[in-house]
Amino acid sequence: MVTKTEETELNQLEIQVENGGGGAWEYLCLVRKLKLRRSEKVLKHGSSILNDPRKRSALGPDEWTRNEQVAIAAMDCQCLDVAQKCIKVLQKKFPGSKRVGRLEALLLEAKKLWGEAEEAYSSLLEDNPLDQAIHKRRVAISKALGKPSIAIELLNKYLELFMADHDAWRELAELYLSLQMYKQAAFCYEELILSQPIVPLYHLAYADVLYTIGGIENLISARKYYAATIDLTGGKNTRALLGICLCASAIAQLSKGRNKEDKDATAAPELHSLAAAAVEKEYKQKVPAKLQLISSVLRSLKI
Amino acid sequence: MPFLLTPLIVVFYSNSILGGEISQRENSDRESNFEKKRKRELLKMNLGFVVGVFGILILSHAAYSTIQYRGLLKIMEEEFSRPPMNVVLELIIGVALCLWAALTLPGKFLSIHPDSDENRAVSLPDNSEFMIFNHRGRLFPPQIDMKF
Repeated sequence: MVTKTEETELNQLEIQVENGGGGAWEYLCLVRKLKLRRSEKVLKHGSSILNDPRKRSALGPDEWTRNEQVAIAAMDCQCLDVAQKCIKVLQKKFPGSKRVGRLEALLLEAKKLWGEAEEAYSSLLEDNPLDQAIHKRRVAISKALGKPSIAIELLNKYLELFMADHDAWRELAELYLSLQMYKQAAFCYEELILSQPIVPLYHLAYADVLYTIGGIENLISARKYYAATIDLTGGKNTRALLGICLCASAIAQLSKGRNKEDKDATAAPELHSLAAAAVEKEYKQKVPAKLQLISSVLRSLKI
Repeated sequence: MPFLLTPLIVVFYSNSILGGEISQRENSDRESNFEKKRKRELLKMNLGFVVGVFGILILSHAAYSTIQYRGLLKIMEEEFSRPPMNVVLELIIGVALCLWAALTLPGKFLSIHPDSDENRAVSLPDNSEFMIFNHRGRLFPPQIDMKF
């Protein structure tokens, strides 16, 4: 999870590195630590470090991790010869290593040789059948081949073994969402909220899914989860505030035909007006040019 | 008394050594911000440790004086109400020093608010273990040449 201080540090480093100041190595370390996907920049600055023999020797034992990082970034940017060279260097240093074997199979995937990649992964799995990364790569292969149902099947089998893997649950939720199976996606997000209730982004995603499914019960639950997100982030998440405004207007529309008591139970006028006021305040602070736009939208929502 | 001065000498000596090292290393690129912060923290911890030892010594000295004072009162057959004023002053100074050391020695305190900037999750990590290379970016490879 990327926290706010880490994000600002990352942005500062990125600007510094892009404009020619030093700090490329720290940028690479930070990107690796936060597990971000900044392949172009990593490739550019990583290859500049690895090309320079003086900087390369200054890395010390860190050189091999950087090689691996640059190889993966090169595969993502489709610079396959760069990736091949990095992998060759790693093979020379660590012959017969499983981690390098995984990288080679990854390179086969990048070259779109799906059959050979699948074979490589099966042979690696024979040696250690409980390797998490290899199972995940097989799911990724089915995803890349455009067969999300097979990917979901494989991922379900993987999750039966490794139930605590949060990234896998998130991936499963996204796969279900791509197939519009919203109830199953909601189940996955529920699992995530149960295991890590402090992360506000899971509450936000769950509220989004509930809002998409629709129906007055789900809208009321969605409003609760948006409110939980606002609570956990201290009101700094604009998306949750807007979510409450949207839920308010949707609930008001759906409960038009009901009697007064039902309507009073579901309405929460103070929450709606507070959320709208908070949204306007944030827009006034950050983007005053668009304040007119958001005020008119909020006014139309209340009707 | 001289044994109380030696911690101060140790502090000033280590200060000057680390100060000299920091000014020599200002030119290196990699060790700029992180190393400086780490050295400053180590310095503060050093000072905190020394002040803490100092505070404990003062407290033990005050305790010893109180015991001696009680022994004196027993000889003079008077009641013991409270230690003399200078011992009370010593106690207060010792407590203040130990308090300052206890707050400085552990280093930087972490924030416990879930919505502070250090703890607030702004984005989740992109699932790079499920990353696929089948995207539109493969049509625009950047021009990189590798010399090794």
